[in-house]
Amino acid sequence: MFLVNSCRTALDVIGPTKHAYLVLRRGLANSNARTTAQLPPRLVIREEDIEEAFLKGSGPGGQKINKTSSAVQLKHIPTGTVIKSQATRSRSQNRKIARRILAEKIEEAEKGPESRAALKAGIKSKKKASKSKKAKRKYRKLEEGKNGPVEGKEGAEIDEPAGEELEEE
Amino acid sequence: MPRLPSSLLRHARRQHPLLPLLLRPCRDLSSARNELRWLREKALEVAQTTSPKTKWQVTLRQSCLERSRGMPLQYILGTQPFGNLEILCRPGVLIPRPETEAITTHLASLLQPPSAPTPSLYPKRTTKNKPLASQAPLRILDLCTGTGCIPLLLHALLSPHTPSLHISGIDISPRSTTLAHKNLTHNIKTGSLPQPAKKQLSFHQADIFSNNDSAQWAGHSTWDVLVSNPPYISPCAFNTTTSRSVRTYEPKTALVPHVNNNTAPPAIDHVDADTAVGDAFYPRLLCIAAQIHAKVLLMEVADFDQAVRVIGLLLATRAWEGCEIWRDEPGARKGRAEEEVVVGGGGCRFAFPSIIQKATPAEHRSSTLLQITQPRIKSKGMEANR
Repeated sequence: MFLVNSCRTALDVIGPTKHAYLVLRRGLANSNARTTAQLPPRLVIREEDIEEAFLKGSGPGGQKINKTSSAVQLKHIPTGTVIKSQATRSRSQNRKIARRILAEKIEEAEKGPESRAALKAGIKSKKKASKSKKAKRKYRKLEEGKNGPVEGKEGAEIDEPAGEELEEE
Repeated sequence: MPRLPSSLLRHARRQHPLLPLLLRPCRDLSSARNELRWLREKALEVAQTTSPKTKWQVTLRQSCLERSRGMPLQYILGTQPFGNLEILCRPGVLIPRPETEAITTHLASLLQPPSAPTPSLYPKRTTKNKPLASQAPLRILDLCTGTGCIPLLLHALLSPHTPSLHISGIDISPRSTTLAHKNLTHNIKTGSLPQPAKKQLSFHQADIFSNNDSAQWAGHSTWDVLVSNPPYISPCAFNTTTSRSVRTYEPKTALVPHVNNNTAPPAIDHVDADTAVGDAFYPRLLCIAAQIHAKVLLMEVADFDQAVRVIGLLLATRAWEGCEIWRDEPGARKGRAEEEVVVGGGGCRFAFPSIIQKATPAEHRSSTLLQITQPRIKSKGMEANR
């Protein structure tokens, strides 16, 4: 799963779908065609539709106070969605993160199961299901090998406890 | 400052034993949690790199204790994000403020070359048809530079479109110039600034009130842009409206003008002595702007009232064509109608775009207000673009 996570980060950083697609392929050499399907490009929200509220506390500002965090609050005017981000200490980073989350939320609301987030989640759960299927298959075979004719592989004995654990699941 | 309710402290302690310590400076749980997260990251980083013998939990507890006493987070972590840069912070040098980041970014957007779609203050050059790279560099002078954050950010934002830049930062404190140089090297190393920045940025130690030191900036006689975030807090305001953390841990010379024979401000009607001390740098900044023939002048001020007083000084020089006050987030979407404010009582009116609220005398809440001005048209070749 590390590769998938790093791909996800790469997607955030790189942006253009073409590059992201290449990164995904390299990491998933053995997967079937469906899971390497290209994700739709990120929704781009027009700046005119966003209202950025600069959260300012009451009291003096400027040199008189040293703020440690810079929360960013975005409002998507057509839909009324509000996103607040305080993830990092950098305001420019928070603005980027807030815009990305806003885009994801708007797209999810618009497209539902067709949205990027839903498709990503779908791919992730498919891969997880496929991985556990393969693992079950492997240990079932080893169990059958153990009970049936001796395979002569040293590994079979070592795997026995693991095989029993899986059986109990 | 109201006392923290004990229920909040209990709630915090249940989440993490060190959280109550951070509630003292932060006052609310989500800020405290954020700071704990950042302090923890720093403690882990320190444990991996510099002192592997000290457990990170010990470092974290120590940091939280320091923070609970009011030590600024930026001094504990050693850095402050500023635009896409990482500015190193050390005791003895003022920590960069987010308001400064906002106005510097806005200034950079206005200084983009004329080919850009947005309105531009880029100084007109007589050699208009030559490619930008071979034209005379855009020269920017930053006074009271501190960490050097303004020159560094201006360079980062301008260099993609303006290859020819010369930006200089001046400060009276040697600690500041050392730190500014460190920041330059650090940000080139991390890739936030391009390699040429080494030659295009310079920092010098000088007292801007001293005519002897003026060689630092008068060496080359003209500069296109003068920027400054000078000390602007009056002694009384320092004691009453400045936060305890700033008062106790940040350098006072960066906040309150030091008044001696050189810096004594001219007496202005209706202004008491204490307020006059807070304004002490502005007459000098205007004088320097005239000396260096700056076409654009940007200065930070404490609040609306100080902005009005400084505009009064500007009007008296009769050398500036226009003036704006920016409040909080210049360049943000302009929602409200423009308001007019009368300054100087002589029928001079300035329209202030958007987000301006008139501050009543009792209200000290207004944050940083800024001004940007352009010189009168002195000769045909020097007209600034708008």
